[in-house]
Amino acid sequence: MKNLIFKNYIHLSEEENIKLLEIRNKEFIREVSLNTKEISLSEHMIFVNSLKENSSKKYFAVFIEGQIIGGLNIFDIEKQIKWGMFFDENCDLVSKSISPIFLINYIFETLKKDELSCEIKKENLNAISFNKNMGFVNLKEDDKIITMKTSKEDFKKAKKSILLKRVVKKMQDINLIIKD
Amino acid sequence: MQEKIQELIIETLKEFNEELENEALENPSLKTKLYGASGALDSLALVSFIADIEERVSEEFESDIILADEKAMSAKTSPFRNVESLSLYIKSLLEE
Repeated sequence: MKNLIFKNYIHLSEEENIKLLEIRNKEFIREVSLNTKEISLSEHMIFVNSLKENSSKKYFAVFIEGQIIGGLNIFDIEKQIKWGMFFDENCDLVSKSISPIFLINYIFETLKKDELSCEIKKENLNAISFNKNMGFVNLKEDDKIITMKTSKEDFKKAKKSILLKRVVKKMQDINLIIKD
Repeated sequence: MQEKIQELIIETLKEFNEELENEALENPSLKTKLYGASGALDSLALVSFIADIEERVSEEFESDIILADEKAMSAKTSPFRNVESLSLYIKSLLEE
């Protein structure tokens, strides 16, 4: 059984922060991010320190078998909670696909939220499709951004779809550890 | 064997698309792009599709293969880019 670890940014070592930032700053990730700017290590560390005092945001680095493969985040926790993600291009495909399902389970089951939304650039068709497969529907859009939303019930239904059932089955081979 | 694998992938894609309803997968051929730049599948759909293919390959060829592993992801050219590359990759795994 493989260990999948979600480690809060506030617990990362300097080396882990550098590796995480290296992935986050890759061009293919910045292109589809809401913030396209390259982030310096000092800016990143200021942000990480700010998270220690901020209960409305949680940022996790994702590790599989000891390697950082990307990041997951949730924010506006006390209002209309939203989520986001980024993953390295050649990372383990199964881990990349099941990590968001684990995160959304955590949001609905551990944080006891009933609804979840996300904001995606309209040209990011892959992310839009990914979220639709998890039960998200379009809530609103402007010329650049589409906002999608799901509920605890709709996510539960989506997990019973043929498509997600096969992916959920693969979660049984994974041991999730959350270091919050 | 190659032809049989291609048929299996195309048949699986057609059935898979009954749920996905993706225009790009309506008439799958060897050149149908699966994953990556302008691919029809996002990573979640690809993992699901691959799991289905693994099961069908196991039934058809009585051989268990794992498609989405480190070897596939670290390959210089991804085996998941289109139907043809995937069929060649499955054939190579079955011949190992």
